[in-house]
Amino acid sequence: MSRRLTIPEALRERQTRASNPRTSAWVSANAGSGKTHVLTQRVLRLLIDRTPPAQILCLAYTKAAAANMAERIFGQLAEWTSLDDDALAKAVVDCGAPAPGPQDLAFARQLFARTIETPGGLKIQTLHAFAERLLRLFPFEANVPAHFKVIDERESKLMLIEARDAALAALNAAPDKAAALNLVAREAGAHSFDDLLKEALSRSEAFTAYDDPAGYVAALGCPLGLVPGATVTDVEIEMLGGEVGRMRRAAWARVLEVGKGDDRKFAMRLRGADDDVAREARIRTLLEAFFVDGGDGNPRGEKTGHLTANHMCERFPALEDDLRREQDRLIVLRERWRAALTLERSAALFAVAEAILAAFARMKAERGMLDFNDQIARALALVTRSSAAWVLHKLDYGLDHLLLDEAQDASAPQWGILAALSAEFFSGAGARAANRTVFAVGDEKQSIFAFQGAAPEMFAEMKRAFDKRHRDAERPFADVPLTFSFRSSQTILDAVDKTFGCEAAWRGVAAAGEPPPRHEAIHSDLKGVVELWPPIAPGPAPDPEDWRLPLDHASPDDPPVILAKRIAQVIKGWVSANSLERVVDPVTGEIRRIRESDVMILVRSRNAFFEAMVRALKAAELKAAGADRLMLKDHIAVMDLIAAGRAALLPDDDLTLASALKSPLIGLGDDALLKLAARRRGSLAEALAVSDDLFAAQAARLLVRWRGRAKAVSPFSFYALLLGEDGGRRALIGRLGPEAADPIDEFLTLALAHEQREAPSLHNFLAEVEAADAEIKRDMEVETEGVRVLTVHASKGLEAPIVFLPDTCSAPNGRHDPKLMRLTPARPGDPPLYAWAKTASGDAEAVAAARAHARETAEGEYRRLLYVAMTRAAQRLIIAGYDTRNARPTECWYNLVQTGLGDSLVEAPAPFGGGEAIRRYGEPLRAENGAETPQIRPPKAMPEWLSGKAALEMAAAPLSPSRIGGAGEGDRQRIREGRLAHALIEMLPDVAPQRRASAAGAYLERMGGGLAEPARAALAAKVLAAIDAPELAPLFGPKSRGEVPLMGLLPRRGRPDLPYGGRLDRLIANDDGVSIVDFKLGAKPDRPAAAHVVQLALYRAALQPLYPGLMIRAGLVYLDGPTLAPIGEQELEAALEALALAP
Amino acid sequence: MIIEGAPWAKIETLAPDAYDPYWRITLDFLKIAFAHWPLWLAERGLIDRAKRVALLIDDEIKALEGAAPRGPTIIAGSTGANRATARLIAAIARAPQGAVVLPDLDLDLDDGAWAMIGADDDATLGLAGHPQSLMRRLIGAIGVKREDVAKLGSPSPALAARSAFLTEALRPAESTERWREREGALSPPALAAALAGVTIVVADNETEEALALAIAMRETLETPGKTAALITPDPSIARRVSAELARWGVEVEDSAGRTLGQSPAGALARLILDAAIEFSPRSILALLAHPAARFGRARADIEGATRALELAIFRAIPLKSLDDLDRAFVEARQAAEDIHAHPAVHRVGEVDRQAAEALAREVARALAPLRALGPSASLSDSLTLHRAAVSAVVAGPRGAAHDTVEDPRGFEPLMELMDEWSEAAAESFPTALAEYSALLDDALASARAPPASGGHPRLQILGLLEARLLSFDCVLLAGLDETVWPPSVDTDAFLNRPMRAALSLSPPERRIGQTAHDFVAALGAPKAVLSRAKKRGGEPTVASRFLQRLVAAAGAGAQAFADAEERGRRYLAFARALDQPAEFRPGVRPAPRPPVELRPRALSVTRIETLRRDPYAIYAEYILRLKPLETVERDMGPREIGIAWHAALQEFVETHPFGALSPEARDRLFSIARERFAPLRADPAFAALNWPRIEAGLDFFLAFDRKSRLDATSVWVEQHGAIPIPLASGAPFKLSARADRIDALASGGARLIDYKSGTPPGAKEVKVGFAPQLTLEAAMLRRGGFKRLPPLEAEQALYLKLGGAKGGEEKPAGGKGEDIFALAEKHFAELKILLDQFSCEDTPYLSRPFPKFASRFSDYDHLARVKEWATADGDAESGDSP
Ligand code: SF4
Repeated sequence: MSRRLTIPEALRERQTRASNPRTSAWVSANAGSGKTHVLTQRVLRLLIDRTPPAQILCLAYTKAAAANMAERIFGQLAEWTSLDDDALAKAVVDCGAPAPGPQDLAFARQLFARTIETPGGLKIQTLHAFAERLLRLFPFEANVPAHFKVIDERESKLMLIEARDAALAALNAAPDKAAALNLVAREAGAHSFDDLLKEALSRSEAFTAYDDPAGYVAALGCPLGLVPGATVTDVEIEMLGGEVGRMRRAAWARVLEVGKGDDRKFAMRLRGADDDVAREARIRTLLEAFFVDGGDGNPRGEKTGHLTANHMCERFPALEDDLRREQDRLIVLRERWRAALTLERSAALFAVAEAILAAFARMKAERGMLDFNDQIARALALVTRSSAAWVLHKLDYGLDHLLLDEAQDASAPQWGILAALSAEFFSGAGARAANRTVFAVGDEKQSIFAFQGAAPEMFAEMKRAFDKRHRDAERPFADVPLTFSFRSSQTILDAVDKTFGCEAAWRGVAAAGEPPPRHEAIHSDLKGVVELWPPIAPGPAPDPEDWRLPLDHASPDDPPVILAKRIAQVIKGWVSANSLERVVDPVTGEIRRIRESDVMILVRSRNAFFEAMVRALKAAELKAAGADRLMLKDHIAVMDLIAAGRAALLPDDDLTLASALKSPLIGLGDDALLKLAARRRGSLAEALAVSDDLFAAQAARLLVRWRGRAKAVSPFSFYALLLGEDGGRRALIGRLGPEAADPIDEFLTLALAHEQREAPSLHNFLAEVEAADAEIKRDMEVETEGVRVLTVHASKGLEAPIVFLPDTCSAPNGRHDPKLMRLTPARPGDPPLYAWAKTASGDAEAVAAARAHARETAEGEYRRLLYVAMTRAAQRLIIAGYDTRNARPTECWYNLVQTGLGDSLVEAPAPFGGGEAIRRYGEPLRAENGAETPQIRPPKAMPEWLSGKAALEMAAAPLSPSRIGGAGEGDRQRIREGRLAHALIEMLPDVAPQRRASAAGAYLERMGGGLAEPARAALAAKVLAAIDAPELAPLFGPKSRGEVPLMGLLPRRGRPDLPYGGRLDRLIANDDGVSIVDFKLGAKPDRPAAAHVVQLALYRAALQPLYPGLMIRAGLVYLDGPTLAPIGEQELEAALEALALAP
Repeated sequence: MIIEGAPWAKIETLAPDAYDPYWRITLDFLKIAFAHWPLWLAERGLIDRAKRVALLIDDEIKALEGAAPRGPTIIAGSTGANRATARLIAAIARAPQGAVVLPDLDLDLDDGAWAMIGADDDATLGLAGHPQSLMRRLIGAIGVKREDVAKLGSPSPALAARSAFLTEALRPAESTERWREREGALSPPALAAALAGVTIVVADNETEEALALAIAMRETLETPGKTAALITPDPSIARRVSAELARWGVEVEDSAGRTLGQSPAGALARLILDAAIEFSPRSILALLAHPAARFGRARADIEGATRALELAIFRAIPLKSLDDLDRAFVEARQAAEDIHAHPAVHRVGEVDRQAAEALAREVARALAPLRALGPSASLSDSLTLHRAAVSAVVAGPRGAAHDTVEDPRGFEPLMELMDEWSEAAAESFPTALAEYSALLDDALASARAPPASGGHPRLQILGLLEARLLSFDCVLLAGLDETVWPPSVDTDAFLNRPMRAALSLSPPERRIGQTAHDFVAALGAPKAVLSRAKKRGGEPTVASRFLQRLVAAAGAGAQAFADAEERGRRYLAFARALDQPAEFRPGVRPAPRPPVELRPRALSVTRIETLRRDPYAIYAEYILRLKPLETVERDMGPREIGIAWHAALQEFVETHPFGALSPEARDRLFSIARERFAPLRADPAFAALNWPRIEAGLDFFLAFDRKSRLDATSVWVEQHGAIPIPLASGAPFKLSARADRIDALASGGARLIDYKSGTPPGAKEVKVGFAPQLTLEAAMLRRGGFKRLPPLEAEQALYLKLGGAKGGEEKPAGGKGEDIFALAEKHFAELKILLDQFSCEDTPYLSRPFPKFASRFSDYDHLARVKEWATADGDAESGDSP
């Protein structure tokens, strides 16, 4: 937004009000109305106002948004450090702050460094991060384990499965629970059980609020309209009416059998209700007799007004009356039956879900783990049940200013935390309390995260609550709407206003009672266009009765594929050199050619179209930014890497090896594989090893290399070498396109994480990757290299000059209904209740109402999604679509926009040709001529060394003198004794002689755990004897030092010097000479061990330069004795010489 | 806190009275540290490690101050980060022959700013984060003034300019308004000199950062004799860079972050524990793959036996745990006898199989003592047995310990660590093996791996600590993002910053000051590369405050800075170009045309379905002869459920070949089913969630069977059949089938039944011949293809869905009322045409020619590289899931 703008006075006034750091404010911001700007402004003004940065808490919705906000604020502050006085004063005033004095200017310049270094940092974080911080600071108060670990969705999912299995086993074994489990299993089946469980988990508050199934059943019975104690069996018995009922049905049937067709069927069903089968089947047959749709639908005869055929009615009027009465009776009973079934089912689910959720909670508690939901829940409990005042007090420097971004997406518990914290703002007294403010910015119209628990209605609700609190406390509170759009042209905004202008489209988009939107463009002269492309109709069904393989195998494209190709073709045209189409650069404001990065394609979900679109872009050789989210192990690049690893581990696995061979990593073609595999005798690996084919031989060499590495290096190194040194990354990207880079990187990151977490093992790593459903999520903001294809959800907060909406002809349907329907508890304020609903046709009334409500909510969100999608566009918005064989839903996006724009649309030739026409509103920006030539920067020349191996330079392995000759394996006891002896020798000389014995004893008792008492005593005696020995006295004199670390370089013939290092036991430096001594356990041997001589020789060589001109004498002290054995100079020199020559 | 000598008494009063109840909770906990811990130590006559260090230092100070001069004492390079050390340094400074060499004491900073840093523990200002804050405190402790410190050596003019610039850029926040003046060190010529040797790399992500750094290091090698060091606090950056360097054959020893746990010895110790805790095929394969695993054999023998073990046992049968090895061996041998077993299983000979079994037993034996440890085992038991297990695992053929382990010394640090533990384990806590494993993991993670030998002599990768006091021609400072360098510091659960300040404890920002000092010190090389990544772990980062300060101090648009960034872009451009393919060649749908003589001459009806839906799969299976090998520890799934269903119904019907069912039939069927499903029912989730519907399915089947027997004269199950089909080319072709069930009807016709425990094919699919199993079986039956049955005409063909929401369903093939006879004849005729087409060399084995009818998943999709070329298909409906 660095374009020069004239900001309307009205807007400036609102911005100033919203950013006023002394008053709380609630900002309802339309899309593109610069809410981040206001938020930044407010933070800046708080800082200028001398608010300590630590007292500001700014909550963002995502980490990316938080990082972005931090960057803006620090960027702004950094800029201030270099402005001259006038410019800085203007910048400060531009933010809405009062004109600064000289001191203020100096302060403003310091703000950058002050803020960036504020202890604990300027808090711009997600609410989850904030909650985690709270819990870390208040583990006791919040009752969480002091070092709890936050687990991600994946870990939590795995643990839920573990808990599920444990709980199921327990339930199965408990006779009183088995029936409930059986019912749930039959009703749900293994497949949908996990979905059900997931839903139950997201509603866990309902399951934990009631202590036992009985209480839950009692509470749930109410809204279902059941008297306490009513059971399915009771109702069914009543429906069948016992012997009397049977006789009446038999009598009716006898009469009906006189008739034909439907009446005979009727009779059959009446009799069927008394067949010797399970009661449930009888009920179904009975209901089928009186109701359409297999007994689930409306009462029979509703249209004709009678149940039996015309002539039967006339002949047997009493029968018709009887049947009508029976039908009326069953209408009531059927409703009660449905309610009872719902209750029974829900109660069973309650029992099962509660057991699983309890096991899950226990498991997390035992392992000290919290998942994302727990964090919020525990933080909420902390601030509501413990003391918010204490929390505010103990938070480092307190918390005075709360800022909330994307407020429409906060969930109810999140609001709970904020409300509890800010409630304190009003209860405290004094100047500090008076200075505390709350700020929220949001837009209900853009609330699209219901599935994450967003509660858009709370935005308005909380506004009212805060308004009241402020008024009660006589503190100012500003309610600021922001309606101007910095982003879109007026044409686009008008199209939005028109689309949502009618009640049907507006319903559920904003809070009830809000007027339809009015958007105004800041860039009033910006050209814009909205295009409606004709939806693509489904082609004829290709259901070949002919079995022959179609040799051209060009099966006709599906509509989504056709559309994807069309879009790719149009974009290709735009970015081609001779295109006249133009956009205004959003940053510089100049008119320029269209680039791939100007285009954003928004879909509702990652469906078939999504894939087709990504492929179409690739096929058209357009740059594409890749998927914003993908399942790692399903990506073919990752599959290739896994196959390579598996083939290296077990080449006998023919198919995996073949897949690795065919992957770009090796790149064997089908023909080569055929030659290799078809006529082979043994395994494919054997065939590969003996093949004389050139490519195969190359592949075989590569495989040998991989096998070697799989044995020797860690998984990370294995893959890093495969991708780098072996050119794997280049090969994969060359075949799969640049979007393969992300999954590859992520895979490598997992490999690195693996070895940092556990013992590096390729087996384990691959098992881990294959078991995990790791997903990559990328926010598309940072990289804008190519065309972005993403979901509307992911596009939140993004914008582009050109936006395509290709997926506009479908709408949510019953398939996405929740399974658990929320019912209203009898007493308001009681915890929520959920009924487990199955098909809509079997809903009891209360459930049907809940379902209708859920659908309406979903439709509201569907329309909000359209609002978000349309308002991403700055200059061009293309509404396209494709139909399926089902009729297009009347209130789908396409129809909403079409209806809204209505007569304002004019026909124009389609940009994708084919003689088709599109309709459009507004005018696209075009150049007069296309003389502009794009600048191509010549690529930098690559230096030669980049592609070659480096010259071999060998470093010598550092030598450690004490290890020369091997420290001797096996006898750990000796090593331990040696260590203890050295420690004693180092320490005891500094201890007063009379205390040495006891000190040695105490030390050995403490540290010599592995040593038996006699051995300890012997050791102590030995060391003491050595220290006391008169002939050794000089070793421990005032000029002596123990344990001297030494380093040196050993010159060698024809090779680089060899570094070495070690610790010398004793150094005695007198004016007349230097002595060095090493201690050895045991008695003096006939000849000193060669290794010991070398050791001393090296130490001596290292010391020589430090004592120029002084003679260095060396010797070994054998503690069994003790004996001092001097080593002659010649002997030392010889040892050194031998070492210098040694290979 | 002991080191810092905190006054405990003050702590009680830290919180206002109003909050006392809450503060109590924390105090009670802290009592463990400041009351109970000293008591516990005192009872045992022990001393706290930190306290001991403090006391030793005090002793040393006393000695220094004592009468006897001990010769020159010099201390160099310490910043005196903890106060006890600072006291010692001060004592040395005072000692007669003592000298202190202060690392990078800033003598340039103006006195005003210097004085600000002196506000030692004013925690509200981030001054503890200043690079000089420790030095300031240290010289304060020594009791000298900054101007009294003598300079040692003088840097080159460029480095002097750099250091002056750093002084400016990192000056205390409260004096940063002076940047604006752009004088002295910030004047353009000074900046140019300061930044001349500096390169700034801003990479998109950590991969790119690593490669750019590796390239910069590689470049250094081009100048003979020049050295370079990568310095980073983040071990994963270090790992990445060292891995990237390997592409030029450059091996750099990365001492920044290799822990003992990652070393071969540490890995082996942990793999042993893993396998002992979870004795499963996967954990054993992981253990056996370790190069030091020997189990008394030569390494080559281990590799052979491991291969056999995996192929012939672990992959051959579903096997989750190895508690019953003998049974697993028996089952695996049975599985190998199946002619449909994977050829790789058949390739394992008896000798190899025995070696595999022996090895598995050996592994079990080696781990048995560890596995037998109960939950209340003592630490020293675990330790002893673990150590014994390590010895057993690495023992070579003659019982000699790791005689061919490449680096026997690699095991020494591990053994030392275990020694230390056994010394400490005297007082023993009960530690279950899992806890022991967690403890060991921690210990191994905090111990440094023994340095590997043979790194490049001119390149190094270092952590901040190792880098101190070393010098290089070029340094690369990597990971300059907030939370990496500087690290994120936060207060602990007990004391917030003001409380810490009240107790005169160092603010946590000390750590930032330390890394800031490291940052400045490291920058004193002629060439310096600073790098950061805009995203790490997929999440956006914020640039390091050090870097941000450099930018801000240089001022917007400073040319020298832009140049430094331009130099960084050069490396980035190289990095991007290096892995850039020369061209983009997308994959295409495979269409292999193998010679006719390789093409299959016999297929079953179910494979005909595959031939229609995915000919490539037939090509891969029959021509390339590639069969999928099951994975290790696979779950039992739909396949096993289907097999159990078939087996149970076969057994049941075979005991009731004709006539009405007896009253006990239900009990019999259920008991057969329970037995057949027993392995599946061992899984609690299956028993709880799948079994009820299977029971419903059994009841459904009984009802169906009762009804069927009313018009059936005999019931035939699992019948094998085959007929020849002469092809146009004259070559013979054999069509075979295994019919689930054929009822011979009283009417003289037959009813064909196929059991489906999954979803039966839709009517449309059957009609157009993408599920021709029953129709082709009908055609075979008519032609007398089933040996034990006369030629019969099929009147009905049914899919019998078993289980599911309703217990089961009868689904007539091709839909209700379809004339199965006519359809069968049509399919048979079409099949001949199709087979003739495939017996022509021009016909390719395409992968998924009809996307709409392609199966959802095939074992050969990866081989066919479906994801590379396939156009979208299937469900075009949109969902709402974002
Ligand atoms: S901070 Fe903890 S570990 Fe460090 S000295 Fe104090 S009490 Fe000991």
